[in-house]
Amino acid sequence: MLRNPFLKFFYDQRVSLLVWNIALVATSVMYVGFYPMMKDQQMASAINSYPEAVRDALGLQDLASPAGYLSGTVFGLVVPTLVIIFAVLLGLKVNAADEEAGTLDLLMSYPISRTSFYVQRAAAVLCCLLDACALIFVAVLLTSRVVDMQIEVDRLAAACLLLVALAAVFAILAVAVSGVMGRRAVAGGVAGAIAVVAYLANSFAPQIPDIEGLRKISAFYYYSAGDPLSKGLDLGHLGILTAAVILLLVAGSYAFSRRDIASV
Amino acid sequence: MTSLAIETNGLEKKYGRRRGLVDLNLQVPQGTVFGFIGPNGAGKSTTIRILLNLIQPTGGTATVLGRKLGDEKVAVRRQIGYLPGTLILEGRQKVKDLLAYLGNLRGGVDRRVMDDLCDRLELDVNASINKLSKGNKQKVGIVQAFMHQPELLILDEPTSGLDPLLQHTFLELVEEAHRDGRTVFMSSHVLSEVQQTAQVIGVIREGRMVKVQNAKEMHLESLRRVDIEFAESVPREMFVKIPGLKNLNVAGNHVNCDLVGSPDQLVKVAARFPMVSLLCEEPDLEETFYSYYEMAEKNAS
Repeated sequence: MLRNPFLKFFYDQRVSLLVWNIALVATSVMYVGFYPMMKDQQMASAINSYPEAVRDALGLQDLASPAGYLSGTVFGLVVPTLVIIFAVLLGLKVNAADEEAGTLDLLMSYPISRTSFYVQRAAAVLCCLLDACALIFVAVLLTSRVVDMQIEVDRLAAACLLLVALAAVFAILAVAVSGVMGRRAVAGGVAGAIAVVAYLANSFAPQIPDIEGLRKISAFYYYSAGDPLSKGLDLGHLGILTAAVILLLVAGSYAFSRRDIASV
Repeated sequence: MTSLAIETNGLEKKYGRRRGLVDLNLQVPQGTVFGFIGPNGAGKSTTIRILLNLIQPTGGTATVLGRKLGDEKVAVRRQIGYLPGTLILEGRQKVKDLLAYLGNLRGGVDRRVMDDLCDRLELDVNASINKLSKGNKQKVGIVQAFMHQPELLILDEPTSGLDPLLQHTFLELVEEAHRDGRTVFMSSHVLSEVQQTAQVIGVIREGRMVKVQNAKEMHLESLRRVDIEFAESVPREMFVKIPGLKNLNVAGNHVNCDLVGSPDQLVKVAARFPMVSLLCEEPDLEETFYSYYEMAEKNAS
């Protein structure tokens, strides 16, 4: 566990990982658990009375079917938001936390290249996200069987895979920004702001004809537009998100390897 | 002709309008203990950070262990042990776990050497890092710098936070490294400890090297402030004649002055009168330098 930066990252984050995994699983289970109640007419008609635009924006169109329900709830706003917050917080821990603590000085004087250090830790962040989304997958699958909610395994897997990719974009963005800026508060603010703008670009912008096109640059678009829970995995969308992650990783690593590390 | 462990030529680091390093020229022969001293803000840490590739210079060149800055970075750092000026360690992990991790980052270190260092510095390896005092964290820093027995030790203010007994142990470690033929580049603003171990002393001031000399030849007479309270009034004439006193002030039964050099004469004179208290303190390096330059200029003229 203490052999290299990749493994050490998991060791250092062990408590945080446990807490977040439990929270994400609990949230997912809770939503799936409510499905029987949603099927009941009263709840559904209450939501149907929301204005159409609001329902569209929040993804609440079709809450009766399992796929629609999951798209609107677990995979709609709440769980992705939580996963992205988790992802950004992890990403910030990669560099900025160390730099503020003054330990980056010490580590960078060791016989390990900056690039290797950076990539190892970014890879560890991605593994944490994979693990969290895998747990969400298992939790939703098992709970859906319990509440007799019909959902196809491959569709569910597609949704979870896209969730990993979406969160990965913001995680690696946070790593990149904190690798350049060194201060967690600033880096977190930047990554968070971009995430919010991206969400709005995908959800509310389409309502406004002039800026409809903004959707296409939002990571959220590629996450949800293909409607994975109903239609399965859109490899093109996954590819674009993956490409974004790789691009941010390379750019961030390059910038980190060339900059001055601030002294405390 | 011994090769140079560290060499810089015209090294420069500008921080916008702040002056960092200006035309720094440094030669540290292999196998020496080099005391790198200067007042706070002179550029000691900046120089060290450039040598370790933590920051980039804005001008000039440098070589470390025969390689230019930026060449074979990983190989060079394998042979360096670094103790940062402000060592801040965080985390809910045990000292032994952190040291194990750092040892692994180096590709493994001799366990006996590490344990021996921890023993000599009286470091409790089972303590949790975030509960350590500053002095104990500094010990961890010293262990990780020495444990792989590197060719070149770069130590930035190494004894800060250590009590005098442990400062002594630390200086022993430096001595041993020197006897092994390794190079020690040690920065400090506490003159006395550098004088005890260094063979060569280099003085940096406002980003430039202003003096490099063999420690023995360089009599940086430390300046001490002395304050004596006597049981009764003492005659000024007895003290005025003592050599090496500056800013002498005799008022009733109080004598204070700045003393340069040996306290022998002052003590012998003062001893003739019944004393109540004697205070002797070492002010900061800046004032020591001023007196050094004044004397150097006086001797030159």
